[in-house]
Amino acid sequence: MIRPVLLVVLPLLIAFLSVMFKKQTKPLLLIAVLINAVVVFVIDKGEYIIGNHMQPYGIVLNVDNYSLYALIVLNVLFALLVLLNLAKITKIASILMIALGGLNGLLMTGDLFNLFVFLEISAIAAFMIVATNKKLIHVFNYMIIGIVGSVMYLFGVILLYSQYGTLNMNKMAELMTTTGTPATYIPIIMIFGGLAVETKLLPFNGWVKGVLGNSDSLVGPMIGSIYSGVMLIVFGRLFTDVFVLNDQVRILLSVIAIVTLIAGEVSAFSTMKLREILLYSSVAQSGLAVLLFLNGYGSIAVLVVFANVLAKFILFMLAGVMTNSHKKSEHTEYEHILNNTVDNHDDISTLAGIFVKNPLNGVAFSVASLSLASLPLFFGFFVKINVLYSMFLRGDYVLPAIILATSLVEGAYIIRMLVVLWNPGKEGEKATKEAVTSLNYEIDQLVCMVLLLISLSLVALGISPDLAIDRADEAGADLEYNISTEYVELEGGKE
Amino acid sequence: MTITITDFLVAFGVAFCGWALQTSVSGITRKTVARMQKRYGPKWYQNFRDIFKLLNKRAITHGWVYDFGVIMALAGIIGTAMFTPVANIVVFKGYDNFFVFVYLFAVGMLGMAMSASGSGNPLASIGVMRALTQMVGYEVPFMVIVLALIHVRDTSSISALVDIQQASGWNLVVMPIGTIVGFICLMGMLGKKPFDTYIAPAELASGPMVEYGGKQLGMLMIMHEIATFVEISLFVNLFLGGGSNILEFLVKYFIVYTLASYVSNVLGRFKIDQVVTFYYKIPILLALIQAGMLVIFGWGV
Amino acid sequence: MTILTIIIALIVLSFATYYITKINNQVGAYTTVVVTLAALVIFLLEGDKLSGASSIGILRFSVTPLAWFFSIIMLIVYSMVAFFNPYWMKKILHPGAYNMLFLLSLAGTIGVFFAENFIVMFIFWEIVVWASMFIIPFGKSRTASVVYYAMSTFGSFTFLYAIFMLYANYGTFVIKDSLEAAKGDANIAIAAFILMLLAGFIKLGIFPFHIWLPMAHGNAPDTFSPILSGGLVKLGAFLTILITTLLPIHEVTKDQAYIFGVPILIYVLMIFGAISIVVGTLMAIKQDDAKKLLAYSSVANGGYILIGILLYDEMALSGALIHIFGHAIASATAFLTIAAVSYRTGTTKMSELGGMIHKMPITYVVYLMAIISMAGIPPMTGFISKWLLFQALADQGMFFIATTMFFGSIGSFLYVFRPLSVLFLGQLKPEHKTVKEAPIGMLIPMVILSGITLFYGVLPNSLVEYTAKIESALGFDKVIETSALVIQGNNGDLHAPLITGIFAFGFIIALIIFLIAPKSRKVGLMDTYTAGEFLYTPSLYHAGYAYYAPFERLYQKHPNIVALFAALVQKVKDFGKFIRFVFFSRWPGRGVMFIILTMILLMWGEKL
Repeated sequence: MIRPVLLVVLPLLIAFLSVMFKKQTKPLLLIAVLINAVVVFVIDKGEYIIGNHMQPYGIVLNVDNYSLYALIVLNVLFALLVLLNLAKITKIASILMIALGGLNGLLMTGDLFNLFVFLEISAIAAFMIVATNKKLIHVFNYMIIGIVGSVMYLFGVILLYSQYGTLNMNKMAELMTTTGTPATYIPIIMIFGGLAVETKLLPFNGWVKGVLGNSDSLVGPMIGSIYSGVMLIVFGRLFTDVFVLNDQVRILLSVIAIVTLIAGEVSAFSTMKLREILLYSSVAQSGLAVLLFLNGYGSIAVLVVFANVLAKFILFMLAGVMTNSHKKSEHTEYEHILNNTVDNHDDISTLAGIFVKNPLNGVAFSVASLSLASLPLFFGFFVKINVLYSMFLRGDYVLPAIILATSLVEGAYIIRMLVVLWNPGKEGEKATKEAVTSLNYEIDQLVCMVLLLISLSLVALGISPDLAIDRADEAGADLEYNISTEYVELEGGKE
Repeated sequence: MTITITDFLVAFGVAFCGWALQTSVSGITRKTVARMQKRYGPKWYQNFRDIFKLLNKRAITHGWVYDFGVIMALAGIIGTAMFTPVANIVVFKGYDNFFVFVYLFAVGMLGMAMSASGSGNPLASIGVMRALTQMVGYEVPFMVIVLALIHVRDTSSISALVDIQQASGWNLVVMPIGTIVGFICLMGMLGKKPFDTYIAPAELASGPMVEYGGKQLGMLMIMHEIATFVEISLFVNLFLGGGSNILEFLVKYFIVYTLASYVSNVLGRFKIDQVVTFYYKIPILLALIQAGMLVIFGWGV
Repeated sequence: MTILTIIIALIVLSFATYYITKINNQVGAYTTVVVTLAALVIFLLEGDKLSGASSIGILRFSVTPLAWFFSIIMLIVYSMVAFFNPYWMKKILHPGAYNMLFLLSLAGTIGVFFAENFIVMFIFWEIVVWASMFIIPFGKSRTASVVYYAMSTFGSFTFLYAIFMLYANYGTFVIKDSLEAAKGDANIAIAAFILMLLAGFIKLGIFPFHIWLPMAHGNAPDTFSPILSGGLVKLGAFLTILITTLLPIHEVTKDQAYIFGVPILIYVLMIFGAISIVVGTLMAIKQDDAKKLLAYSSVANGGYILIGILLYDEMALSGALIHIFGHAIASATAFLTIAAVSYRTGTTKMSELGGMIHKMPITYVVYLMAIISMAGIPPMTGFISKWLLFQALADQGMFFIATTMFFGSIGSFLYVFRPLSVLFLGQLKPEHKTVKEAPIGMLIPMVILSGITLFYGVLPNSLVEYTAKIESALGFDKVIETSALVIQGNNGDLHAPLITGIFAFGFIIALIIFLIAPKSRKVGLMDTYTAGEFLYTPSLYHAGYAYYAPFERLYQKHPNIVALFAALVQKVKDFGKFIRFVFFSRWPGRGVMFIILTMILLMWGEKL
């Protein structure tokens, strides 16, 4: 009988405590994160009323299959991220607490304004987390655009409140279905715009390049994987469970998603910098997930988000470490931190063959990338097959063509990246040990092992995806307007 | 039909007689051409004397490939000659397929090419290169014509085609354009001027033959004669109706060979790229037109 | 023995081989030899007793004669090539990964052949692609791998689209049922056919999708090129056979106009095959690198195979199947000989080599037999397939396509002869005087492969009978007829042992003449006719560089299709750069401007 509100309250409480007990921030952070990761498995599902104010006047926390699975993934990954970056979190331990609390709240809340509150909390925590990489102009960019987004969201919520008289999501969903089409969809478009900033849709995503392009192994997975996943789940909740769109608005918003998908893949194809490739790929995956949510393929979108979150976690973490490579004769990493200098080797060709020296990392990186490129024996394959399957079942013939075309571009740049990282050598010459780059990096054994384990889970899910697909099915069942209910999976697959 | 050793021996007899025939005919032609050039020319059995002399001379060898290639070349040609139907002596009725001819020929050509290149002389390699390039030129129009012929007659056996021609008219009449193309390709096959680029006596020092002497040269001469025999008989069988008896066949054979020699004697020599360009301008065009006439419209059938 | 167990065993063993190789390179490489040989033996012994009974969920397999035929070809190629692996372990940067991916790609191909439904086929198809894609960059080029992946995936995705399209209309993934149901609607059937055929085209290397073949096969590690060229391109042929015969496409397109006896759609597709033959032949003649030459020859042979399959005539299909068999073995053999030469000398460029026969005679003989088969000369298997294909074309009267096929056939004499003359014959370079014959471990597989080619060229009847069995399993009304030693075609018969017998007879006569005549005196290589000049450098005496220069000059200014694809890729990159430049800047002002503009557009759009 553990109340889910604990997941929000505990981190916030410990954050305040850590302000008072400055010396013990790290252990406090670790305690909070671990407790969250454990508690999330034992909370009960249901609706929880905060402060005894009945619905629809008070705030409600909604824990159904959809939120529960997202919560589990969020808390476990957050704990892992903190454990793997023990050296870097000392300065921002309190901020991380606040972020954790905010993200949990985002997933559970059942009230639109409460969502705004948690959105702001998470966003501000994100700004401060990003600021640790010292590229302040990008943080500033992120802040401005983020605030514009939040304001638009708030504006939309206000208009909705004035239209329907309630902020409770369940009640809003009910009212939207019963009172027919509203006079204007402007509030929904405003809310879409606000969330589009955080979910990286074009052209709301000017901040992504600066933030993720300069990320290290803490910021990268945090913003690129965890935040990304949470925001998409929130988007899904709002647009597949609460709001009712008419076809015209749906098509308009889908166009934005499709444009994002295409633009993301094409941009990733045109660059040779490691982190940029990953961040544009994230942009494209967000576009895909948003497209799926908008058109009612809820459970499939959950699968896409899950696969992306896992893969990007590994990729951004490794990218953050790899781009801090240095030659053996140069300074070690400690000197870097002491002197506040960072050697950024972002271009793939300078890192050519680096996996020859670090094969285990290479395997983890390769597995995650190949899952992203949706090749069989990896989880991403079944995700893509199911995306196409649902679309064809509904008689949609154009979207699959677009998705396949962009997938081709995605595969090309991912393979290009992998091939160079494993095999050095100029064109026309054999790949030899001598041509391997002289750069190298240091990485903790623990980090290495954990990333390998996560990548093995991608392989295990690739061979038997039923575990994930069944969960996604259950999650999708909780969404009101989910239409995809049949899947291609290993056991009892439909042919 | 069961094949017995007597069939093999009879076929070999055909090949041997063919060789003898061709050597004699070429000897006679040398004499008549010499007369055209206002000189006396050698005796008609001069070629026999040359071959016999060469086979008795001691010569050099450049290695086992050099020797093996010559043996392989002669073997391939003898094999091809054994398949050839001559008038009413058809040993392997039904198995003398046109494509078998083309490819068994290629065995001979490959053997000679191998041996020539194995001699280590670059002139030989250049000659072989030219010979192969020339093959691309003359084979394709020829095969197109014959393909069309096979299609309309519904058989690819040479002896069957002869029988059909005996019954319903020579192909010279049925497909005149095809016959002309066939003749031009025949000149290329024989390696007579203007298509003797691969030997090019004064230019390449005889091309592939530059290193040969003694028995190897003798065997190659035998091979050349038998090859000429096969090619001319092929032309006679395909386009001139073969022969219902030996005499008719011999007359047609003699006429074709003499005509080819006389034509070549008044022409100069092509360069190798001119050979290919020539064959891919008029002959291929005519071949395609003829094939179109036969296959699509069925004229003359 | 079920297919599923074999495939799972192969996958598990591939991972095990990775670890074994990490411990000891040579042991790992020998493991691949043992595993592939074991698989070959199992398939040969089980024959028809193989069953597809066991299955996991959607992973279901069905055993057909066509699948068995292709698997045997694949296994022969893989097991013989595996003998070369131990010698290459020290030349490759990632030996463990190489061995693992070697076996994994084999598992993938077997999965493709025996798949019962399209999803399984697609899964294993993609496994083959990514397993082979990672081996290619161990060789000389990284871009080749990306090009291979991109083109192959383009085909795979059209294939996937067609699979789902058929499912959406007919509700089943099972290959036989899905394709048969498609007969009902001509439009869907033709659309699905073309989409799936694209995958087959690209894999087989048909114009205009042939550009990846020379890049990948030419630059892959020397021991993997035979597998790519002899084995993996045949996956495209397999898919083409399936969709052509199971639809069957000739019934679906019955209502179209007929040209030369086939529907016009089929004729247009055959033209692509014809163009590939010409392009492949011409480009092969130009090449200096022996491996690229053989890769282009694969392009040309892909054209033959495609024409044979699309004709849908029992002789043509039989010819295509035998051609697949013959070309796989001959091409693998040729690549292996080049690999052996490269092992000893370190290069595959023909202009840098010469006179190898004096040091590697057995390799020379093996190469000679391989090219005799590739050129289609009796008594090798290549002749049988060419004969059947020509007969089929003559039967239909398609003289335009036959022209290109003849051109390709004669042109093949040119390009197969070039390595023979330039690489093996001619003058030996002084730096290669210490080169030894290929090691025994390499000679054994090469000799075995040559033996197979020779055997089925002399006695092709068992092979032809098996193709008859395949044809009847695929639903042909009429199958190719053979009786005792004769193959009966529509307009002529072929008695293969007779041809060999006659050739042998001629050989004996020639040998007798040779031996009777006086013995010749052996002289050195440099002792040749030079019109009185004295030369001391062997390299000046070797006609090797630009061997077919006069012929090449005739088509020097040919249009280059690689440039077309490169331009396409460049356009995508430029588009990406443009988007990055416009939308992803670090100035907040621009970001906010775009947000406002988009919101205005959305709100206006909503009002419309």
